[in-house]
Amino acid sequence: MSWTAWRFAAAGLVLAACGSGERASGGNGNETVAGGEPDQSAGWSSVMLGLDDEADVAVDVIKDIDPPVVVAAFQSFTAWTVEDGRAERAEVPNVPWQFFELGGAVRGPGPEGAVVVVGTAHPEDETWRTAAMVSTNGERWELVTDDDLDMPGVLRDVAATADGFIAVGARIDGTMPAPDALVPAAWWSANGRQWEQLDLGGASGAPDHASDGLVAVAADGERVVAVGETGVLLSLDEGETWEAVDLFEADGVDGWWETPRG
Amino acid sequence: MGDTEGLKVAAHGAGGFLLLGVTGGEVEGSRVLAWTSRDGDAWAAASPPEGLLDGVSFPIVAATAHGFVVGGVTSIEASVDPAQCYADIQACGQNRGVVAALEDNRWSLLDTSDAGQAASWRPDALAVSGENLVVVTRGDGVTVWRHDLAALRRLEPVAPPVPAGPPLVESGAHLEVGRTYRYPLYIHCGTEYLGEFNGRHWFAVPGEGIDNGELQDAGLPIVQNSLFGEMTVVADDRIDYRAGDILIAVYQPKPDEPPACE
Repeated sequence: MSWTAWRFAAAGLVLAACGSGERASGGNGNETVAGGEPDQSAGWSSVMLGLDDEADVAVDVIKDIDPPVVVAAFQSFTAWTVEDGRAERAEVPNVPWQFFELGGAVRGPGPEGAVVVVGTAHPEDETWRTAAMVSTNGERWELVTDDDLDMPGVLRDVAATADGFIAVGARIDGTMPAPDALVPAAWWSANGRQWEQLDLGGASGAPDHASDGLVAVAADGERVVAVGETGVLLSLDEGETWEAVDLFEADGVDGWWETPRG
Repeated sequence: MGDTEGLKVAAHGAGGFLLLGVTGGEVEGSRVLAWTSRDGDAWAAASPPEGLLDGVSFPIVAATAHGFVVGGVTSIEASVDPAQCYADIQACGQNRGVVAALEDNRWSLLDTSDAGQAASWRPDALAVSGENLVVVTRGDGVTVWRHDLAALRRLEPVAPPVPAGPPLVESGAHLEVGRTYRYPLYIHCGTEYLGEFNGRHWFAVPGEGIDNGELQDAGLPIVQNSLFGEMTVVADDRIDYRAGDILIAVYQPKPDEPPACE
C-alpha cells in the first residue's frame, strides 16, 4: 500500500463544505493575504506574517486560545495574534540577545491562564541561557526576569499543568568533566513569571545518557510526561517526584533503545 | 544514534498522551514512530503505517477533539527511493509537506492539496483553535493557514500502480545480455564509473557518450547528483547507458578498482 497514491476514505469521510473544486482564483485556489481579507472560498484561509522563511526561523502556534497566537524566533522573539485574516504583531520587549531559540509555547490552565513561551537566549557573549516570555493574551509580552529560570542551559518545551506550567530542557552542570555538559532539567511555575527548578532525582538516568537533556513535555492535570531523546519520565504530582517509564519497543524497529536508560 | 533518531515530541489531548520519535536517517530514510497512553505509564505502539510520514525528521503535533494531528516535511533523498524518481522525476527529491490524523487509533492522510503549492507548503507548526486546524507553513514566507478540521478530507492509501518499464537494479546485480535495466547513475564525480555488475567493475569508454561538463546543461533527469537513466547490456563486455535518446556513456569491464569519489 502506498500513501503517495490515495483515495478518499470510504468510511467516516466528512467531505469539505468548500472542496477542492471550488477554487476562487489563482493557480492553487487560495490567495494568501497579508493583513487583508482572507480568501476562504476553498476552505482554507491564510495570512502571511510578513516574515521571510530563512532557515533559522522557528515558529509555534499556541493552542487553546482564540484568536490563535503565533510566536516565532527570528533573531529575537516575535509574536502575532491572527484573527479575521489579519495578523497583528504583538508588543515584545527589547532583549539583549543575539538571537532567541524558540522552545515551546502554551497557554496556562483556566480561562485567565497566562501564555508562556520558553526557549534559549543567546546573548552577545555567545553563551546560552534559559529564557521565557509571558503574556496575558498574546498581544503584549514581558521578559521573565526570575533568576531561578535564567541560568546557563536550554529550554525546549513547556506544558500547562493543573496549577501552572512545567518547562523542560537542560542546564549546564558545572560538576561534569566537560565544561558545557548538559543535564536534564525542569522548572515549575504557577503563573509563568516565578519559576522554581524541579528535582528530577535519579529518574533522568546516568549522566552520559542524560547529556541531551529533556526535549518535550506534555501534561494532563497533575500528570506530567517529560521526554528525553531516549527516555520517558512520568510525574504524578506535577513535577514533585519522577519515575522512569518503559515504552514498548517499536514494532519492527531495531536498535531503538541502544542507549542505556536510567 | 544518528542526528535524527530519538524521541522528539510529547502531547496530550482527548486521546490521552502521544509521543513521537524518529528513527533512521539520510541513507535509509527516516520514519516516524508513535506511542499512545491513557495515563502516561502504560504505553502502546501506535506508529503510522509505512509511507505515511516517512521522511519526516521533525514531526509536529496538535491535539484535537478526536485524537491528534501530526505533520511535518518529508525530506526524501533521491537515492533512498529511486523507484519514485523513475515514476515522477519532477517530484523526486522534493521536500513535501504532509499532515495526518490519528483518530480512533487509525491513521489517515489529511488532504491539504488546496492549501498551497506542494513544493512551497512546508508545515512548521500545528494547533487547533476552536473547530479549526491551524497550520503555520514556510516556503513562500511564513504563512498561517486555517481550515475546519472536520471538513478536511481523510485519505486512505491505495495500491500503487504496477511500475512499468525495465526492472530497477542496484550495483552488484546480475545482468543479462540483451536486457535493459533502470539504474541511477551517481554522477557527482562524473560518469567514468558505472558500478559492479556480474562480478566486474564497469568503466566508461573514453570518447563515447556525453562529456561530463555537459551533463548538467543537457536537460537530463538528474536529481541530487543521480542520473535516472537506463542501461542496456549490449554484449557480455558492453553496457550502454542512456537517458531517453541521449547516449550518456558506454561501459566496459576492467580489472581496476572503483575510483574514489568524495
